[in-house]
Amino acid sequence: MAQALCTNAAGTQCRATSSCRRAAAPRVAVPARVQQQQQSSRAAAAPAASRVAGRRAASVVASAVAEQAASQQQAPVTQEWYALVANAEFYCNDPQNESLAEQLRERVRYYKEQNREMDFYLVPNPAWLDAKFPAQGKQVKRPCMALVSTDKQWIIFMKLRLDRVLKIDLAGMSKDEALQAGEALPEFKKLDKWTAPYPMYTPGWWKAFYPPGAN
Amino acid sequence: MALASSTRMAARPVPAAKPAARCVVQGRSRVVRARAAASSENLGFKTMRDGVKVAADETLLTPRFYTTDFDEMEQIFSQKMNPNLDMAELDAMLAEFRNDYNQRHFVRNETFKAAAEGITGPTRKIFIEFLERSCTAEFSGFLLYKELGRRLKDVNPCVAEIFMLLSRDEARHAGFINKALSDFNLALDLGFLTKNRKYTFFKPKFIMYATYLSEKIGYWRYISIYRHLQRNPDSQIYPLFEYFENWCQDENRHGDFLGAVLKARPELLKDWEAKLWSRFFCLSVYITMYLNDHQRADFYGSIGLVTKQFNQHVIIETNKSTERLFPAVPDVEHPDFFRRMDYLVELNEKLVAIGKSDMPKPLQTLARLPYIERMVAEIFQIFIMKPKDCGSVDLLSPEQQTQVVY
Repeated sequence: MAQALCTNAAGTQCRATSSCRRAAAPRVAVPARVQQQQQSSRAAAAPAASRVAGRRAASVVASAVAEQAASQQQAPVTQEWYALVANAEFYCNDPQNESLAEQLRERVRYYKEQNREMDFYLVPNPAWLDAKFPAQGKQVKRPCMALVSTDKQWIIFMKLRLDRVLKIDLAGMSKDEALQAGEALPEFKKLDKWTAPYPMYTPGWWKAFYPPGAN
Repeated sequence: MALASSTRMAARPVPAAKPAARCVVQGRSRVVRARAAASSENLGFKTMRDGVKVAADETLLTPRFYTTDFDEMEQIFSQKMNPNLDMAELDAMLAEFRNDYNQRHFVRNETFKAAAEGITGPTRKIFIEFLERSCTAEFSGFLLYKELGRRLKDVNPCVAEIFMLLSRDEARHAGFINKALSDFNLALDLGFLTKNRKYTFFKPKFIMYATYLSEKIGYWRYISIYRHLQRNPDSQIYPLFEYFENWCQDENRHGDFLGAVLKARPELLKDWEAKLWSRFFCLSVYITMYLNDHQRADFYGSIGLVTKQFNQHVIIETNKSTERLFPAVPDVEHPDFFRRMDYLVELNEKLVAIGKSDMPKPLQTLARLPYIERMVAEIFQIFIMKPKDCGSVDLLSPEQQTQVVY
């Protein structure tokens, strides 16, 4: 199934041509253009934002926001990792969270399009949880999983989406430490109650997002 | 023409298929024209000019255009007036929307036109209705978000830009569906709709609850159709549905943003009044969809879905998404909930039947009254069912948070 889903993402790429811009109504042309500039280079976002801000009366507030955005857009020198931890059933065996599979596939596709290096993974039973965060570890049912990334903004967004997850800043941790997985996840019990008019995504889809070399 | 045929029919009864047969006798060119006309006119749609459909009549259940108190919106988002406005989640949302994951997604291919021509008869009519409703709903989002983006530019550039990016998405969606309508030789004049449709006024906080819900329920509708068709490709009768997976990620993100907006003003998610409005909007959205879709069971049937199962699933999952934000939601998994909803469907069918009967209008109004009264009573019963208390874990006190098990 995971393979079929990947093919699907590739299919989406095939459809891509520049004619998509015509699909948008003319009135959104301006933000769309600004958008494209920002797209071409992440760093370009800052000048674009401040140029727009310059026209405004409340330019002080606006450029403060722009500066903040600029500092967030630049890759930090030392990579900080951030994690969202929850029990594995929540991530893997809950019809409500199947959208995560779609989202992660979408993001992998997007990173490829942008030639951006992968900076997010799913880590089963992360080794650091009990070793470094025993108090928070007690709050988490086992087995568990963590969504980790160096993209702080994206982790804030994912926390907003998933809500019932514990956000932990893995300050000062190296990439290897942050991505170190523990025991493999067991097979999940089939849910008693299934209301959807479609079967669940094939279990194991999450393994495509494990760090390289994990089980 | 009608007169001529009726005279003939009086002289000699003809089977129902006879008018079509008559076209064939009248020569080839006539047949071609008759068929072209059949694609739109014989389905009973009115056109305002060639190929441009007159929008369907507005009823209580049709997609609406919304407007709000923009001055109050400015006050809500003004960082000068609200220096404590929590911007962390809103900034994160802005970064997410700037990525523009679907920039290159909405590109049509050559299969659309042929697939549309393969959809005939009653299915064609309900397909066009489905496309019109979806296009109107997406376009309604475009108008509202665009105006909000314009109005909030000075007081809160971040929120304003997000609204602009939301309207970017909605314009793409509406434009894409309108192109699909043109596969059926019809399209909506969106400029005309903008100027001539009635706008429903909602106070800002109600706009926030209502748009949050409509984005989230939009996601669950689109994704449920997509996942069903992905596993049952034989029911994939029109390529539009193949675009739904990436498409509805936009809806889901829009919902998240409106969630962040509500969380930035936590008073909208905390007290008894917030709980009341939360339940009210959940129910309005769920009941509207349930009644609407059950009237169009043939549409869902044409793509292999059972309307009841599809709708109940969408409501259950939308409710679960909403539980992560709203302070109270209806208990949709209580057995009484869908029992009562199904009774509403029955009553609504009676109302629709009266509307379609040849009873004189004043009598129709009278005949409707008892059913309307029962519907109101039933909706009230659903409203007073014991709700579920819920909400975001972020809004709990730090001590409460440490007690949550994840």
